[in-house]
Order: sequence, then C-alpha cells, then structure tokens
Amino acid sequence: MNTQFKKGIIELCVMKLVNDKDMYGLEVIETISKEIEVNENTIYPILRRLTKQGYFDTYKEAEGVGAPRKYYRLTSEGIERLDESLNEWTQFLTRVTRILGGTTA
Amino acid sequence: MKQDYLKQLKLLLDNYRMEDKEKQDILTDYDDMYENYRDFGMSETDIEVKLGDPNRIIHDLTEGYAKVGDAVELSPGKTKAIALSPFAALLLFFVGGFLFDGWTYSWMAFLLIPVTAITLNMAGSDKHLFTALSPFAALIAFFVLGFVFELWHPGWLVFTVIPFIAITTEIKTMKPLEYLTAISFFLILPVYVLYFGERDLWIPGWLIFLAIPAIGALNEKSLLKILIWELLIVGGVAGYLWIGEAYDRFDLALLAFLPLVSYALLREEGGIRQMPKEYRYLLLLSVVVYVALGLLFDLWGYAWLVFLSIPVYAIYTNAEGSARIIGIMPFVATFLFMTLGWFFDLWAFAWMAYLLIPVVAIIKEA
Repeated sequence: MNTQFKKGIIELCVMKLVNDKDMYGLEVIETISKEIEVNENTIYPILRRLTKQGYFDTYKEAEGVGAPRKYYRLTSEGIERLDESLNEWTQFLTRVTRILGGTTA
Repeated sequence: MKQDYLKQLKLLLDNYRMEDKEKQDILTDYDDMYENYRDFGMSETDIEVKLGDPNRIIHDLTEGYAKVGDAVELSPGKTKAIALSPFAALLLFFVGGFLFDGWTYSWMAFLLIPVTAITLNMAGSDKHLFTALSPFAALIAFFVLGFVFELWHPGWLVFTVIPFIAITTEIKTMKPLEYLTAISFFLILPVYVLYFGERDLWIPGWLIFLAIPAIGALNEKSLLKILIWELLIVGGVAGYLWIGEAYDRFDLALLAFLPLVSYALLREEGGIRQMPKEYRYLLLLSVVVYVALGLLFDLWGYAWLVFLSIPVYAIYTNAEGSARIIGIMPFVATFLFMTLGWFFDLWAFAWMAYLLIPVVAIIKEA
C-alpha cells in the first residue's frame, strides 16, 4: 500500500482512538498494531504533528511506580477535524466500493 | 545507555533544519517510550532494538525536513537578487572610489555579495542567520574603527560578538547558568582589555578571567564541591596578590594557584584520572614545556599555546578528512596570530590569520 495513503488512514485511526478514550503513545501503538502493522516511528510523528496542529493536547499522569505517561486528548478543533475526516473517508469508501462493483455498507 | 541513545538521536536531529522545540519534543517522546518500556520490564538492549537504531529511524523522524547545508530552493526573485549582487557591489565599489576617493573603504562593498546570499538563503528559515552575518558586521566595524579612528587595537574586540551571538542563538537549549558560563569569556575579555589593559594592569588584571571557572563551578550539583572550587579560586587570587605585591614577583605568585590546579586535575569527575593515558602524558609534557619556556625565556604570555596541542591531538585522532583540517584550523590561526603579534609586533595584521578558518572551510566543503 502507498506509504502516504497508509499514513493518512493511520492518522484517522489515531484520532478516532483518542476520541474514544484519552491514550498514551504506547497504548495507541498497541491498539492499532492489533489490526495494522505500525511501530513507534510511525505513530509518534503523527501524535506530535496532530498536537502541533492543535488537534490534540497532552497531560501527564503518574501510573503506579513507573514513570508518568503522556496522555493525548482530542481538542474541540480535533473533534471537528475528526468529523470532517470521517465523513470524507466514508464518502471515499462508498465511491471506491461502487467503482469496484461491490455493495456499499 | 538511555542517555547515549538520546544523545545519538539528538546529534542526528541536529543535522536537520528543525525547530529546537520540535527536536525537544521528539527527544522527550523517546525518553518517555524508553521509560515506559522499562516499566514493562524490558532490558535496555531490548528497548533499543524495539525503538530502532537512531541511524535508521532518523529518516522517518525527519521526513519533510531539509538537511543542514543542503541548498534551499529559492524563489526566482531571491535568485535574481543574489545573481545581481556582484554587479551592485562593483557599482558601489567604483562609486565609492571615483566619486568619494574612498578606495580604502569601498572594497567593502564586495561583502554585499555573501551578505545578500546568506540573508536570502537563511532569513525566515534558519535561526543562525545573525551568527552567519556577524563575521561580516564585525569585519566592517573593525575596518571602520581601524581606518577611520586608528583603533585597530582594541577594535579587534568587535570579533568577540561572533561567538557571543552564536551562543546566544542557542540560549533556549541552555540553562541560565550554562549560558552565563558560556558567554563569560566574551564579556570579560573586553573588560580586561578596555579597563585593565588601558591602565597597563595586564598583570594582575588577568585575574578577572578566574570569574569564568568561578561561574562555571556553580553548575556543580554538590554544594560542597561548589564551596571547594570557590574557596580555592578566592584563596588562589588572595595568595597571588599577596605574594606578587609583597615580593614583587608575580611569576612566583602563580604558585598560589597550585591547590586550585591540583584539585582541578585530581578531582574524581573530569580530572586527570579519567583521562586516557595519552592525554595525561600530553598534558604533563605541555606543563613541562610551558614552565621551561617560561623560566628559561620568560615566555609566560606566549608559551601557553603549547596547551593547544591537547585539543589539536583530540581533533586529529577523532576526526577524519575535511572535518579534521577544519577543526584544527582555529588553533593554527591562534598560533599564527600570537606568533606574528608576540615576536613581530604585527597585532594590527595578525588577526588576518583567522581568515584561514572560513577560507579552509569553504575550500574543503565546496
């Protein structure tokens, strides 16, 4: 699969997961990697970029005796962006499925 | 191990035109990941395999960023301006020369060429713009002070603005005390030359330079170590002044710094015991040569150059090719500057030895 295309989809997945629940970086990687092959060097740049763009904000939370973890949380701009992206994705998927002769969900 | 990993990553990131904050964010993320994996019970070796070799992952981390030193694609307008700058410089040179009989100064118009290229290449995209322009500003100021006001000395002090700006550009990456330590030499040197030098108080005025280790020592984490450093410095200064004044022998008075030098050399962290064997021998040899030249030929003010052999040796053994020659060149320039000035009293021209540094760098990197 085209790398840029895959990155775009993974970005959407990251936003969706963090929208469902605040997550720390490794938790995002762990969750996504159950379905798609990703690693730290794919996910962390996305987390940083989305934070820089104002779609995420972060906070630290101590976990037991371990080092505090940096949690990501979707901002209101992030929620808007996610809605737009999900709409675009659904429309895109519908059209592609139509072209390929399948049935739309 | 973690520090080594992060250090290597930082060194690689420094090769890219990336904001400091961005770099810091990446390093913080890797620091967090390292700690998180450690919490999961992984060994450092396993963590580093999991995170990936910095040399391999750097491409993912810097996607979309240009490398430092890579040519930046310029707009057509900027390219035209750079192409026209030699003609503008030539015009200014002749106008200054013919109309104002200012041939002595008008050649400086040619500095417009590199200044234009640097400004248009770096403005808005590289925080080191002012550092890159500072040698030209300093050179112009130096010539104006020299030609117009006959102030070659202490006019050369304007060159201290170059490292001062370079260090200040990196201020965000330093703690306040580290910054103060780094710039202290460039603040003290003008005071020494302009205040003590003007009053012919070179000796014992040089003591003011001890403010540098006195400030540097404040970076120590242990209060006891700070106290030891400060006491040895103050004690050394007091002893030096007392011996010097009482016996009128400021050369022998240097013995008052023996405890300070001994502590600096013999301390556990950073002392001579941590030095590789060849550096210990080189340091010992340098001290012997320095003292011998000082005692036999009264060359105390010149012979300190022998200590430059230590960083030169370090660069020679650790760097290769162009990096080696470029790295050694500041020391060669200092040697030439001091030799021409000390033995031939050519201080007004000796500074030109420092032009070797950019010239060699340009030739080697071209």
